[in-house]
Amino acid sequence: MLPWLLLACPSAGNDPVGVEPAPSIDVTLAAAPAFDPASATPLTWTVSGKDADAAAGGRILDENGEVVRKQVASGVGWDGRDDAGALATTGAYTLVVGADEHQREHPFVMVRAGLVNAYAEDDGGTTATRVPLYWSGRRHIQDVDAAFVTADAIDDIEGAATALPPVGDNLVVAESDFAQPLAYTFDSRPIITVQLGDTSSYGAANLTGAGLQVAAEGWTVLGDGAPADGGMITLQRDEPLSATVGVSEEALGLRVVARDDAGASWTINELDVPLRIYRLLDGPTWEAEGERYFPWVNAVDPALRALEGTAAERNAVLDALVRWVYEDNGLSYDTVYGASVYTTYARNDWEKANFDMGGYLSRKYGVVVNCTDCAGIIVGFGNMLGADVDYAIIGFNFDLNYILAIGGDDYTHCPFGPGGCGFSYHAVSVSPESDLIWDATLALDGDADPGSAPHDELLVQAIDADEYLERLAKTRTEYAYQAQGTLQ
Amino acid sequence: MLTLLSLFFGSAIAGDVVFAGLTADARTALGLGVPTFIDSDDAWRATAPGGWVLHHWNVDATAAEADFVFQVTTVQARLPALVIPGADQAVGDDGFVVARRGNVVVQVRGAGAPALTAKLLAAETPQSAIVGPLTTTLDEAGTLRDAFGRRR
Repeated sequence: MLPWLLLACPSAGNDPVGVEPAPSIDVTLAAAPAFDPASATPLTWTVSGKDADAAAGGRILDENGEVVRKQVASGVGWDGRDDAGALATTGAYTLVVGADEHQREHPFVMVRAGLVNAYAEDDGGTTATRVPLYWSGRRHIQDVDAAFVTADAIDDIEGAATALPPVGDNLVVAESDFAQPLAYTFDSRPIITVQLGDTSSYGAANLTGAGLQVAAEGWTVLGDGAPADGGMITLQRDEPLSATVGVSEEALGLRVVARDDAGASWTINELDVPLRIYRLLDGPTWEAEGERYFPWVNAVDPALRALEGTAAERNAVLDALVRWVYEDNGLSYDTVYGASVYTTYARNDWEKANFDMGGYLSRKYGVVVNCTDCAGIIVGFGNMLGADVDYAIIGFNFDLNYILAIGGDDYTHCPFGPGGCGFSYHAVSVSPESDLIWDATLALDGDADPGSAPHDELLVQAIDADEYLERLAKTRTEYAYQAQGTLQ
Repeated sequence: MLTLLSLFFGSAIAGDVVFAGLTADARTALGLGVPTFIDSDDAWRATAPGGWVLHHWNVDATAAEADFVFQVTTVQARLPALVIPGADQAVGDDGFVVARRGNVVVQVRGAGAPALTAKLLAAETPQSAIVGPLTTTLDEAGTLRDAFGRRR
């Protein structure tokens, strides 16, 4: 080292003559080994070293050494277009900066890693249970094997999936051909498979062998995670969705990562797969079979938003449903007749109440209801959310203690006015395995004397049947009938 | 459940008069027009002058089932019994009637409901006049409970 120092550090007045030390060129070029022209980030690079200023500009050569782009500023980067503004095709390219002894070259591949399809899967309930949704307006059940996010051509979406359709004021959720909501049980770890890359205006995707990896924070890639043209990448959420029922709206943030031989990594594209996941207590608990007994999008969407954060337990879900229906659905009791408008006894199954869920969601027959309607609502929503609940009739012809009917202001034991004291029958919701009652039609008087004032408002949430009947009726009554009901 | 019922009321089923419901022509003649709600072949709802009609019909209904549907199609308010020509059972007032004739249960809402109910029942088309009336009534909760049982 010392002799070199003596040569390299000339002393004053003693310059060596005719001996020019070779210039020490210090230019280092760094850039990603891959580039996606449709990403939000152009191909940029950094030039470092003491001679970096001599290599400020860059040019792009194709695999034949032909110049594609003559001048690109490092701060701007290359956008995947040639000097005429035309789209370049995917393939091998070289970035060249500087000239002569300052010239540095960086080979890279141009790929197109747009989102083509996304599929939602489960594993039979081991860690993920998916439930198909039902679009009542179209009488169509979700095909769980079909993509829930699709794009006919990845150029259409420029790397980002189409947003999920909004929920309109009329509670109708459109079934988009491009993005659909999903339903899983609350404790699932959803499994999402994505297909990246397709032939586009840039040519073939060119992902195969490009040395790329897919990653997503909070998700684990199952498999090697290396995208290939037409290939699939499967990821599973690391944590269960929640301990509660509700709606999870989040994005599966995919990062397409390129690594060079030195181990440095670059994110060359970021793709958000929009997810709207309805967190159900369980799969549908209807006894009746048929597509319409799966969760209706336009029913579970408002219900689960109202129930957001409710503990994922059957009684808690039904309790919350009762409060939602009794307090927030804008309903009032028919104090003239106590007549139903959304429930019939039809089909060749007359022992089962048939609830017109579609009519109710649009409030087709108004907001004045009776017990049959309210029981139908609880049974309808409850079994769609996975909270097994039956419909029961209590009867017949009994006098009432004080009740506060849905939408009412005052407690009364004569809901139909003077002379109209008592019910000919009453419909409630009941747990199939125990005598617990849920009732959104009315609140009971919860104090020690339900037959007189004052009144202590008691919502009917998992009340033991014997206590319920004692508080409800002044005269003896009991269950007359219990079944689950059906759905229109 | 239906098996239970069939065993329990088997003797009452044979010979029930079965109605097919109203034909389109009959509905039109009564001013009902096209049903606004069709649950299935055996239940429909149509706008009637001054109100609406809910029509249930079940060719296979037993006496107990028909009576049960009459009971629970009735309103929660305890309406008085009515005499409606052609009805086996009827309750209501001038603005609301529930009536049953054989395996047909109709609910009529709106002013003049009793008169329209009578016209509806008169217009019912017998599907097959087998024999015998549906006379079994099950008013007592305990009897119904025994008949239908509890889902456990």
